[in-house]
Amino acid sequence: MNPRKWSLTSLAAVMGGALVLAACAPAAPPAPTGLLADILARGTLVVSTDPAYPPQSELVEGPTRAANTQCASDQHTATEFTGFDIDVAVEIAKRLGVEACFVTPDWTLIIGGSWADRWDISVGSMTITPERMEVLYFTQPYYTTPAAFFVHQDNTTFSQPSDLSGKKVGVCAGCTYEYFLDKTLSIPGETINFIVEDASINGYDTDTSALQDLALGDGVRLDAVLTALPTGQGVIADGLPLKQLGDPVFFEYLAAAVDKSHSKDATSFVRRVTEIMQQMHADGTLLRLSQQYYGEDLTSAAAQFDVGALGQLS
Amino acid sequence: MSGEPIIQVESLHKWFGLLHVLRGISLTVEPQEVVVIIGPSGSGKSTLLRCLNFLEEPSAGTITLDEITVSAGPRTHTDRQQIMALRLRTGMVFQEFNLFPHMTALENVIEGLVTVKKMPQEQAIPMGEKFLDKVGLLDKRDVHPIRLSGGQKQRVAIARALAMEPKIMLFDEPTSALDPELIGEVLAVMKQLALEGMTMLIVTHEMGFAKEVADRIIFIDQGQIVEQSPPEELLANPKEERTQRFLSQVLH
Amino acid sequence: MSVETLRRPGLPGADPDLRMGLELLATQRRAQLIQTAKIGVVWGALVAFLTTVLLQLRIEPSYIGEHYGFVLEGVLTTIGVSLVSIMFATLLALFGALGRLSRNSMAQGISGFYVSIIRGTPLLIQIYIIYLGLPQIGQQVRALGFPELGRWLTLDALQSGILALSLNYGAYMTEIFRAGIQSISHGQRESAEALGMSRWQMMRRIILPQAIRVIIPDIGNQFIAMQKDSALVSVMGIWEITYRANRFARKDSKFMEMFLLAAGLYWILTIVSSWIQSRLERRMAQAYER
Ligand SMILES: Nc1ncnc2c1ncn2[C@@H]1O[C@H](COP(=O)(O)OP(=O)(O)OP(=O)(O)O)[C@@H](O)[C@H]1O
Ligand SMILES: [Mg+2]
Repeated sequence: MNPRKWSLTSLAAVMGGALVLAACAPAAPPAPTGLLADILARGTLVVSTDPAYPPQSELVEGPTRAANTQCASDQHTATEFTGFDIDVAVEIAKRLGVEACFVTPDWTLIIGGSWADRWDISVGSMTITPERMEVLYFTQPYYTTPAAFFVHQDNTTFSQPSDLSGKKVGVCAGCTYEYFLDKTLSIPGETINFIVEDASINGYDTDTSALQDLALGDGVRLDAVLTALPTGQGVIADGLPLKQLGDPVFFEYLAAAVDKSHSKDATSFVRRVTEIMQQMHADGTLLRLSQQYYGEDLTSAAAQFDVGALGQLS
Repeated sequence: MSGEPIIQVESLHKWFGLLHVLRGISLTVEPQEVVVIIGPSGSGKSTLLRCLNFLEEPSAGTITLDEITVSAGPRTHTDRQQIMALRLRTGMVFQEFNLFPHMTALENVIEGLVTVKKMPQEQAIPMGEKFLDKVGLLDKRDVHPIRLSGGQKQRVAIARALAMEPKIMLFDEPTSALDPELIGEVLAVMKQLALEGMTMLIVTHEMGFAKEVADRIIFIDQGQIVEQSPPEELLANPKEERTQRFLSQVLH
Repeated sequence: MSVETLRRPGLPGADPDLRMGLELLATQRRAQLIQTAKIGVVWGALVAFLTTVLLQLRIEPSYIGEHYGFVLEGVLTTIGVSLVSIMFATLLALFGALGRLSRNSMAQGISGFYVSIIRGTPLLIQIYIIYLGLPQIGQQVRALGFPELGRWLTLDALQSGILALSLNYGAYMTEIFRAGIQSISHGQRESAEALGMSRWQMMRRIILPQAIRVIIPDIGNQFIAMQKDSALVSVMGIWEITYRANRFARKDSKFMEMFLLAAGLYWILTIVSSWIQSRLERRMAQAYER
């Protein structure tokens, strides 16, 4: 599209919107500016998703591109995917009054920022971390990954996570779980209570190998494993003789993200999505989706999260 | 013959690395003169011919060709234009024919007219046909070189050079790559050219042809002109001992 | 070979020894046919062996049969990306080779640098740099007051992929073009020069038309290789064969099934391309006949 025409159209749309608002609602909020104004004028919200992670985002078989879509030819429509992230993205677009369109770059290209205005937002279950906050804005998180300890089914000596001080604990090497045990973990917006002292840390390349070692017997190789709650529950459902020990010890907050280096001012857009996310928590939409895809409530802690404390929009 | 010489070469030197191939050659050729160059293998005959149209850069010396003078040394833009102009006044025929294999006989002949002289096709084609006819190959106009015999190839090559209407023709052993029975047809074309008054420099081992057609024979050895005179004189009683030795070898 | 070629042109009537020639020809054909059949049997045996080996993998062959459609849709993208890229690469290679063979120090420097830096770095990293890095330069350029140019530097996934593949193959093909050009005999240059042609006229009219016949089979080879390398553009989310196979596999954890399917599709593409290439090569071989 001709860029000049494009900005003229968007300008006209913004001015038109402002006129309508001024005419009917004297106390209306100020007309949107920056990226948000662009999205509203365009009528599409371009979302990046890597459909490699069921049940958050996966492909649907068959020629399923929506018929009367406004998405550009190199973008995909919501009907081509399914998953928790996809439903959340579609709901955000709906509440903005636009259509959700998807692009599918590799996950590694999403988390590094510098998106060059190619897409507006990532709704990709991205954990809020200090490193990512340097290049991305995060919205109110929409759910969490709780981290919990798992022990062997036969174990009777441990009754709560603090009992594991000084024991052999397996984790995936270089993950947040290892940083929890060596007490260097820092999660923006969360105060972490390091209740396990001096654990002997056993690093594995993946969580699953740690869980399989734990399943060999109580204390044979490991006394416990610290991992994501859904992961532990998954292997238990698959038949490993393990059980969860106590409540989750910390939460990773998963949010939508927006590129800080966008050529337009993105802050009003981030604020708006945060508002929408809070509404979706309040009216039970996210809880319903969490139940649908995970069979449990992973959203409550995310609803409590104080996104203002991140200090990213100051 | 008299008047302004059409070719004037002054103390021409050519080095290939540390090999001194031409050692101070000076030479004048009159218009319409036919000069045959002979000499042992490696004596520098080809190199001399190729220096005349700057296929080979001379290392030192000056070449004047039809009033265009170019000296050895670093080239300016004007020099390069002079060399281009000089090449248009010479036509060259090679031992290996070097026809363009992707073009028909006629296309070969008119290539220079169309590409270099920017002549329109409809004007170039009749001209090309005229020169093909001249070498007796009009019936082969649409044939590719691969389908021509060696003698026919060489005649097309001569037509290609003639089509550019040069003032001087340079022949480097035009019959050496030919089977004996094909040599005659090429020599006949060359003889005809000589009769028409074309200025020609010919490197050849065909002594009979030289005797009959040449106005002068030049004997070159080790990059120097050893002796030059009309054929009857040079062939009958050469003055230099080196010439005598060479002639006794080639004349059996 | 046709029977006509056995008749001696210009001689009246049939060659009295024609029978002998025909018999010889028939024997040769029979031997050729037997040879082809033997090779076919070897191929058949190898395919059977490979199938047996692959069936030992922990796979569910019926899954491929039920879900191949989604991956098949990527074939057109793979072919499209490769075709467009090979065309740009060919152009780049032509200019690269002319640069390398030119006497101009600027042209020589630029093309030498281009070939060196592109051949010296992996394609995947070039893709990342073009996709991620170029827009950042674009931002700087925009800030300097050249908004149009800045926009040009922000390429979408497809453009980035095509640019990366073209640049990469262009560099390798520069060497192919250079060798092709240099394979044309020195005598061709000399006779062009003796006619008074400029270097460019000589290239355009004499050298390139001949060199291209040497080069075309190699371009075919590069095209066949590129079809497989185009898999790398999947990192930017282009839905070609590999992307579709990989992402689809994640749904049901059917990696081996989908990878085998993708491999099969690439192989078929290669077989078809090789066939076209061999036909082209045959046409090139009967060059200059009229
Ligand atoms: N391009 C070149 N580079 C290096 N040496 C060369 C080159 N061209 C010719 N020479 C050498 O220069 C010498 C003269 O060569 P030239 O071809 O002029 O001899 P010639 O008299 O034509 O011999 P012939 O009768 O064999 O054709 C030879 O020793 C040859 O090896
Ligand atoms: Mg010679």
